[in-house]
Amino acid sequence: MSRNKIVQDTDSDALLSKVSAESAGYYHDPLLKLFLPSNVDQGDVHKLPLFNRGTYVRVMAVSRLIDRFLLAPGTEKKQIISLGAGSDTRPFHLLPKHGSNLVYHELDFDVSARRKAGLVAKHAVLHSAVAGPVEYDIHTPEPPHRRRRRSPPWLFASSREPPSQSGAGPRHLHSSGGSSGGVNTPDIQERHSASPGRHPHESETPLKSPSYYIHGVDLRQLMTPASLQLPGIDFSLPTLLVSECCLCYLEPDVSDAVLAAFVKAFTTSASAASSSNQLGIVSYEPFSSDDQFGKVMIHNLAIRGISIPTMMAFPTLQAQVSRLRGLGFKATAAGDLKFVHDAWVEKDEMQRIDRLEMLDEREEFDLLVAHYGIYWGSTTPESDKADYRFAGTFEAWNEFRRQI
Amino acid sequence: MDTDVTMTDAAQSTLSPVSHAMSPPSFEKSAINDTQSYNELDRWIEMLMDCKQLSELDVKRLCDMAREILVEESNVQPVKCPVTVCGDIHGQFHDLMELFKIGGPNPDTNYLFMGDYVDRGYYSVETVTLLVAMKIRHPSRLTILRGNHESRQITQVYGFYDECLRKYGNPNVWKYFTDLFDYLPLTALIENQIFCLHGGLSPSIDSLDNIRALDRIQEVPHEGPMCDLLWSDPDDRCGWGISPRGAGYTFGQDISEAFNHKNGLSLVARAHQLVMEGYNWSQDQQVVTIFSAPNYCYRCGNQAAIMEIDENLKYTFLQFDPCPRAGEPSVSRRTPDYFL
Repeated sequence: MSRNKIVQDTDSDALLSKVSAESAGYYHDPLLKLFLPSNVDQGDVHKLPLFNRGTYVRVMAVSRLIDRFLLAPGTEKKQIISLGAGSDTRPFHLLPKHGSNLVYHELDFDVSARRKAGLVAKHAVLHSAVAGPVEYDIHTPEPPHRRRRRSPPWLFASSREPPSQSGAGPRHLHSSGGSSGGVNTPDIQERHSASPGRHPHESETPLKSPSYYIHGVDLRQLMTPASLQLPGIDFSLPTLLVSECCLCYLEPDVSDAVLAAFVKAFTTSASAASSSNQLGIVSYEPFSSDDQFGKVMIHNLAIRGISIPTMMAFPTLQAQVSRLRGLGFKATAAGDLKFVHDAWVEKDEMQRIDRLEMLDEREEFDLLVAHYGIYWGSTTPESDKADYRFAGTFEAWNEFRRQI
Repeated sequence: MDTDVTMTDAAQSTLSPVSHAMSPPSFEKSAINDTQSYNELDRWIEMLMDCKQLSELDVKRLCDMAREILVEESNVQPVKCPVTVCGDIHGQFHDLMELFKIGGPNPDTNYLFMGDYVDRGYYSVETVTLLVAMKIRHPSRLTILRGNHESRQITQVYGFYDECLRKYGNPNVWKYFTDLFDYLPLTALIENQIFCLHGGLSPSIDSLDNIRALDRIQEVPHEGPMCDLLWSDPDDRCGWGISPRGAGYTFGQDISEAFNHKNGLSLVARAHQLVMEGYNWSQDQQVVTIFSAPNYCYRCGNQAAIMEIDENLKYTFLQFDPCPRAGEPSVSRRTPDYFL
């Protein structure tokens, strides 16, 4: 299996975890089940209580940081750019709520982006969350030699069930066949050689609307400000980058380059120059702390072919924070999921989730969640300040308790 | 009331096969008394040591035999030294084999296991079947207590039920074992000095006689003294606290000191909590936690430990790491979950 495919499959882990936590009552998200493949029944997905609780903390933490950004006073219109968005349901909850004040971009592998666009086209409840005319480009050419039974079985099957057969309302603009022959290729080089004359971003936005875009793009192509000129991205808007376990799969120098490109594009580009130059980031990823748990984690993930280079490069919360500060996120805060669980969940809410399931494995839970970090940072204020406090659009983030 | 309790205890004690002198199996109080049965038991144990499961019918016979032995044991089962005290195993069969390598084979070494044989690991069926078979074979040389996972409700959440269904195609084996679990003793008492149990103390219990008076032959209740013994944890804070687990209590050093003093005990040995070194002293050495599942759930990276108690009640901790074994977890088996 190619490394791209392995990384794409991690979205199944995230989705099944969320479905399980949702079924157990930790939070409410009726849209999740729409993303389950047809051979998986929602009722069959049971993760252990400690896992459900960890998933809840992760989803809650990222959602709160996003919500606080969107509700901040000041510039009305805001932009979210979600990296490796996978089957995240947030856009369908946030877009109706914020109307024309939100532009939501999701970036993912071409195959994942088309699959998601296909699901939006298929399900009226998703489609109707997106305001304005929606253009779909979800044709997925699959070379004959790649037509094989897919595994693992919980993978989405939308490419085998073209959404055009679903009878759903939205119109489909199919790209001319074969133009994206590089889809599913294992690495950038192969992709480029497969379609040498192709514009890097042609036919790579399978869903376009005034407020919501799904871009099919390999993040490793986004290492310069110019490469970020994707349809609809507005460098003058206050913008939040979201990376939920995404950038961590890239080599540190590559993810550094991607983040540096975003910082540069949003703080120095011509369109950004006239604006308030505000870029924020919410990132969630594991870190190892160089301890036994971290070593076992690296080993177990390697069995699945997954490597998380940033776990080794940035073994502590502090190392990650220093890295983000070095990349231009002048105000940056962080907490591991254990800290966030203990400090962010209010008493009433804690009592509610305590009642959902008996959490026998308390020590294991503490150990597990202490190895994942939430990081939130912004390019404002521009000057270095010793207290790393947030300002401008991101000022409200000072309300969140920080471990660092 | 007190008189009844004492009488019950006396009756239990006389029935208990606590002699630790070398004695032929036939002299032990046992559910079996013929050579043919011993041969069959030995054959089962041999199979199980190879991590091969018994047939459904044999599991039923095994559980029937075990029940006859366990029903005679006390809620506070007396145990003689020397004995090796072990904590959670959780279906980590190969690590149990490593434990027997480190601690010595049974019956040469007497063992006291403090519960949690099933759930979480991949081999709950083989692990619990083996321990029960060994119990029947040498009842006085192996004591198996009840842990909070030896319960119908918990095993349906944490894996044993699913494993039985997967390995036998029906839930019968799960039913035989969970019915048997009701008979497991709740606590043990080594030479009237070291009190052993899975979880910890209970605000409803002052004395060992309180425990002896409990009617244990039932599913682990959601609350009350029997639940607390299997669920509670020691804590740095004084007094009783609400347990974050949702069952049992946390108890402070003041509680364990008072309990040990009142009952003439030198130590509470318990399991139930993952500790990275395999054992952990707490509460000014009033309480020790022993955890015997290394790299718990194939994810935690912890060491395991067992506590050897010699004939002079001196104890030694033996730590061990997961036994290296090919392909477990491997690509064919699910690797443990992570948040990805």
